[in-house]
Amino acid sequence: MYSKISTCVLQGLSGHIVEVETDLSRGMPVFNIVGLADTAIKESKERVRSAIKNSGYGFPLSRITINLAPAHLRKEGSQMDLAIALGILISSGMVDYDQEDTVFLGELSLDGKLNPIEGALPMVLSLRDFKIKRCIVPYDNREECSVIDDMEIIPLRTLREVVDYLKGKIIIEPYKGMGEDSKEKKEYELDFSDIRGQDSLKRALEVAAAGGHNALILGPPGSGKTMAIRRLPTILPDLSLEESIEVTKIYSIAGLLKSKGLIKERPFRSPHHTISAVSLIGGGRNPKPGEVSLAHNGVLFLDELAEFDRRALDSLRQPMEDGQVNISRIYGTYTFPSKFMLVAALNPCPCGYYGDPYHDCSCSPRDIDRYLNKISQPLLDRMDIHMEVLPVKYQDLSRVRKGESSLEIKKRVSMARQIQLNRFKDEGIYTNAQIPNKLIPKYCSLSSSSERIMDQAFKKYKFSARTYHKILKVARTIADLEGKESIMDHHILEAIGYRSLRVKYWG
Amino acid sequence: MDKLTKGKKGEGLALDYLRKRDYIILETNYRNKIGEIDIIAIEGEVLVFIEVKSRTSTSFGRAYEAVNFHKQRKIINTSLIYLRDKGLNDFQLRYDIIEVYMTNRLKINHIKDAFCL
Repeated sequence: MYSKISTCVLQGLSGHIVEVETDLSRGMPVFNIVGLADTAIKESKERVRSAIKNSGYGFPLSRITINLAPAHLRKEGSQMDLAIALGILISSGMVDYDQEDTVFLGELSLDGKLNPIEGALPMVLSLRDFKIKRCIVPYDNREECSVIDDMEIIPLRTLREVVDYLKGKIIIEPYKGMGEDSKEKKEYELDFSDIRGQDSLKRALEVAAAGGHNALILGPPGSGKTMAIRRLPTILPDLSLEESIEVTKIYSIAGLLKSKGLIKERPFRSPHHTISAVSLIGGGRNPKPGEVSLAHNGVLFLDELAEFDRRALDSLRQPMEDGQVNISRIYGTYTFPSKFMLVAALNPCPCGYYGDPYHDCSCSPRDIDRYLNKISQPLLDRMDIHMEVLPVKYQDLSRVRKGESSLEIKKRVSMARQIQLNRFKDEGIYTNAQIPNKLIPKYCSLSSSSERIMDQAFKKYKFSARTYHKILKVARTIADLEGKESIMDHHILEAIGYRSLRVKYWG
Repeated sequence: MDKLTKGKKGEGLALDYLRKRDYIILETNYRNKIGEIDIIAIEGEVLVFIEVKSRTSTSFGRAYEAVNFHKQRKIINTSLIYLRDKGLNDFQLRYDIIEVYMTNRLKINHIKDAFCL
């Protein structure tokens, strides 16, 4: 009359094993669930009752008590339905089962079908760390779970199938995934060759993509800022397997996994400027990842940067620096990764034409100051590459010759990334932008002539210590793009050039 | 036929129906200070509390609809007092409704496990 089986709950990205204990006793026919369960689990009572009946089993007429242990852990999510239903079936003697190495995940529908769950991949990954041998998952979650090869993933469709599987009536082979054939190339509708002129902008984006650097693009309306940045995903290098798993985990718990397998493209998030600080960083009563985490290993694009809420922008500072966000709420403190590349575009003034050689700006100096001051100095400091674009000239626009295609640029970018991956094999980082300060002397040493250039630039532009490090990292990336071992003078000059804009507008 | 005799007749028909199906009848029209239970019986190992509803037509709704939430609670509370008085602790309980339709053709409908706490 007593049974115990295991399932899993998530806290942030880490999973915990939960024992579902079921006891059937005589008395008033009631169905109680104890052990800090949230509404989705309390509601599972009705789903479980109908699913058991509609799968052709009798719902036992007795006093049913379910305990979810450990009792101190708050449980949420509908993935416990299957374990609760099975617990009842085992306790009432309809199934024999006494192993402990299997974990059951799945949401039940009223007809006994197993519905897909949110967060299947992070759950399975943490179950592997707990040395669990076998995991039963809903059929629709099989692709995302199949990345794990040292654990048996049993995809099943209905409650009836699960019972038959436990009874040994049917034999299901562990799912091994579709293999390598899912490697088809993504076709983009956009291409860098659509852009006429604006070579310096394209170069800046190429450097940013190669090193994972943050970039700030400033220019009048219609100069191609947004157009160019929208094409950024087409030149970003492909995700490595580890990066791909990290991204898929986040999308899995956010419930945004549309394709069933691993995410193969770098995320590109462009939230509207009315976004709140909380939805940018992540939060809620049960904290969910925000845009910074959804852009992990990818690009966070903020168009019209000056229109964003100042509070929201400044909340970006910490995640950018740390590569992760800590969110504290009443239900606990969760950590989500946030290693993203911030790309921002903005106009130089409210009317947009300040500094434009062809139009007159109608803003007062006060207006311009107020507009640009919405972006705080610390945030500017964190942008590695500053770029001003000017309107496209007619000669460029009418030119027939097309620019470089995304594929050619991507080839160079991927090569530079490969150099970085090899260099940082043992450091636990992927790109130049992520080099921690203590490793900068090791990887970004300068020749004496370059030192002199830096010295002069420092005197002229009054750089901060952080800016100094950023310039070195950008110079490193430019050298990598050329395949050069050491940083040379023209690399450092180009990198300094990407920081000179600040004096002009924020000086 | 007034309401009372109609109800009595329905309960008689329900009793016949239960006896034919090997129910052991413990009480009929059990009363205490909280309320009344029409039939208390034992089927196998299960103690069953039964509410009988009689109808001569379905124009005013089905019979079981008359056993609303309030009535259910009343039956359950009455049954709990019964269990305490008789000292019955270790029994599996069940609450049934029996509908008796005394139209042209007699029809008895037994709803097992119709409600619970």
